[in-house]
Amino acid sequence: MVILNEEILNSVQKPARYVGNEVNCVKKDKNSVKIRFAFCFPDVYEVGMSHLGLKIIYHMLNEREDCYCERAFAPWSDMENIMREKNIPLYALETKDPLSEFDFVGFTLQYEMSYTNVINMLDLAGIPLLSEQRNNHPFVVFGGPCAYNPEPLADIADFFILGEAEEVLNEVLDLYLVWKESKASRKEFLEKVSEIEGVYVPSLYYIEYNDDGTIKQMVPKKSNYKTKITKRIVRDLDKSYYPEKMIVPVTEVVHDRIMLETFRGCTRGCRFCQAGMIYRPIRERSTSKLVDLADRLVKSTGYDEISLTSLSICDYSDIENLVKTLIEKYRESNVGISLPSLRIDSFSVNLINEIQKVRKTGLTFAPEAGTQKMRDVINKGVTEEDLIKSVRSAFELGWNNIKLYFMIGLPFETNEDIEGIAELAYKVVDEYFNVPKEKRQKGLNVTVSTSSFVPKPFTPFQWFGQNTMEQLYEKQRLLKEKIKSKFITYNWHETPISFLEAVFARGDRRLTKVLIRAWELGCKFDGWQEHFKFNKWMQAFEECNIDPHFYATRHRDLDEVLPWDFIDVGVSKSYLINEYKKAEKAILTHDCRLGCTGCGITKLLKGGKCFNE
Amino acid sequence: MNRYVLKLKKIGDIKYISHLDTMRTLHRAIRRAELPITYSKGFNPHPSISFAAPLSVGVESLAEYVDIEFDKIIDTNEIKNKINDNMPSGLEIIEAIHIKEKMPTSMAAVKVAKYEIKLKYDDIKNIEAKIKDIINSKEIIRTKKSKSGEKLVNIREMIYDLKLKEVADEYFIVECTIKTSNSGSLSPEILADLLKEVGAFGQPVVRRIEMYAEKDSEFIPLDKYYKRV
Repeated sequence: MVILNEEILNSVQKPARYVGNEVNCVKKDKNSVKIRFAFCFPDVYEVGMSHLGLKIIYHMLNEREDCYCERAFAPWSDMENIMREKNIPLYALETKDPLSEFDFVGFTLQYEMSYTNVINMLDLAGIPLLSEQRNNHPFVVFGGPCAYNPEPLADIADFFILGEAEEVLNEVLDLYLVWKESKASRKEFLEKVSEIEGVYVPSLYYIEYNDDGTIKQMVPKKSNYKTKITKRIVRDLDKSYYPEKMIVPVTEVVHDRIMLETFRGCTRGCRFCQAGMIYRPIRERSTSKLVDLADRLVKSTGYDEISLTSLSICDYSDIENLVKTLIEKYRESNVGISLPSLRIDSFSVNLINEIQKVRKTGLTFAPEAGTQKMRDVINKGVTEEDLIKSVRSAFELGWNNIKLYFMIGLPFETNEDIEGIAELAYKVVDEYFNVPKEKRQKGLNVTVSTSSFVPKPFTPFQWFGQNTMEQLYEKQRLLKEKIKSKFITYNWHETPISFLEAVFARGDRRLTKVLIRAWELGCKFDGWQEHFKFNKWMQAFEECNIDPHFYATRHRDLDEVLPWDFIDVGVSKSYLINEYKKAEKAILTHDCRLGCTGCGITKLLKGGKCFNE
Repeated sequence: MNRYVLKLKKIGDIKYISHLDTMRTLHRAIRRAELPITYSKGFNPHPSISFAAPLSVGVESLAEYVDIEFDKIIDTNEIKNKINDNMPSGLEIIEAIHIKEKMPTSMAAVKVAKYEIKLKYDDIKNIEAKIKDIINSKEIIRTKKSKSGEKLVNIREMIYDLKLKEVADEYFIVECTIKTSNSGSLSPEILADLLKEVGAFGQPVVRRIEMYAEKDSEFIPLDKYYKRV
């Protein structure tokens, strides 16, 4: 057990990050369980504790009497320095035991720029970085959306879990119990676990490359190893596990409220969006189930805010009724309801007006692209008219602070599309002044924010080469030049970070050594501006003799073997190719709620329908 | 208006949460306890919770005072027990006091607080001499940070009592009574800095012992000060 004295805790920022003991955290006798699982989030406590997946898995695993799931987060650099100086290993918050004493160390991969933190945490825990170097150590397992391209971490992981973990994780633990009894080798466990659907063990495969550096094929080391890894889904959300208690941090975290997951998946089919593809099919929780869960969670947490979470929340079939029921129910007890993301239509604006009877703070819309052609290319089925109508109702309802979110560097984009972003922002400003003075709030502020497009695996744009940083800088400059209004503020995301995201999002196993080298050179918390060291990253690529442009900016042929081709997410490759081709011609594909578009996901449902009508 | 003052303890690891975190944590405990706390009227209702004086991160306390209102009269033992059942460990209500409507809030009533400060030392004689020195002086000018920047203040005026309480091999503890009020407060860290000038060292470990109101030129602990309904 690690003991952190007050001298240490009093000398670091936000010491509450490191002590645990929050309301609803689970206390067990570690000697009474057979499996110790450390759920690790490769970022600071406040970020990790805002993650719904952590709460689901943590409480679910702790329902098992034979398992104790604890949590670990990345220590901020001030704490890390002390830990390294005093030889304090990374520990789990509940028992304060070092991670090296656990059976499993599981990381969730939410964003590529957290990979160096994964390495740093393993190192702080004294766990060898590479799978092949481990023997009596914990099994290191990865999951989360970035695991859909597992290859950049292939040599680090013992295994990956692809898809929703609720069922498969329990199967893995059951198997582990049998293996532990049998005293068989580590390799035997990995072979056995690889037979579970949704589990990928990278060490059972090797990769052959072509002369040009692209992948020739992925070869199983034994003929009985499976060649296709199919993601796991939970069929019925009403029947699947959802915690009735959630840890309530005693120090403020980023999302400090009840998260009520209304549904999984999205039917819109935006072509840039990885979440929209990998989380298919759509599955909803019923309103009655949600209302019941809300009730239990309000009682067990004491939170005064419920956030309805999902992709594209207004698509929930019964959204109006759900929102009204919750508002009605909690009016007296002062529990507020919030919606995370908004679609552009007047319905959404009116709905949020219902909810936010209080403060008219900022309202964010994501047209994603500046011209109709571009919005058709990316299949964002939204028109300029939709946007203008929505902002008009927002202005009339008292909002004066509008944020518009766009991407630049999208496929088939021209300079006119960039200029279109500025034009659209100006039209929003004009619409504000079209609203009669007495009906609108004083002090207009329109914020235009652009991020650089990062092509992601399992999207129709997975073959597209990212714009070079020079191209992106040029587009930002062009847009800056076009925006002259005092009512419009323009800000943009860091281009070098997007470039590295593109490298690792579509990278292969050869990148593991770059990650480790970059970490050795001091890279960590790469998603945090104050820590990001682009020159160190470029040095790491150079020393490893790897060209990052090969991964980020190179256009890939449709018949190239992609590093993640061996994974089956349900959506077929032919569907993605067809969508890419339609994008080039700016042809829309309709929302699948209006009729099946044939993405292929229904095969995971074994003949079932993908939308629960 | 049904006014109550809660006296709380904050000891152990929970001392690492901030003043705002402590308010939120107490609010949520009251919600879990399903006690009818009063909310402010208006668009953005706030719970009626206010602390006598904020406590720095890392400082323990045996006596935090909180003003709170409920929509109806509730038995003080019930308040104490129900909230304590829902608190994170280390945070505990010692007493709930039902007070008269007209009494000042604890924030308005508090004048001084007593602290213990634990530090390491080289030579205890220097520390003893310094304490005597501080007590005997009329004026000690130090820069004090405030919202409007730094300014020079006579901190001697804010020290009411200072004595050596315990000397061990590794450390010593002083006990001090210093100004803590809504017209200005002295931070115990500044006192620790004075002692560090003569060889005390290390991260000061601070604990708030009690808070006092003033009545007939005498300091009375807040829990004795309030008349029960």
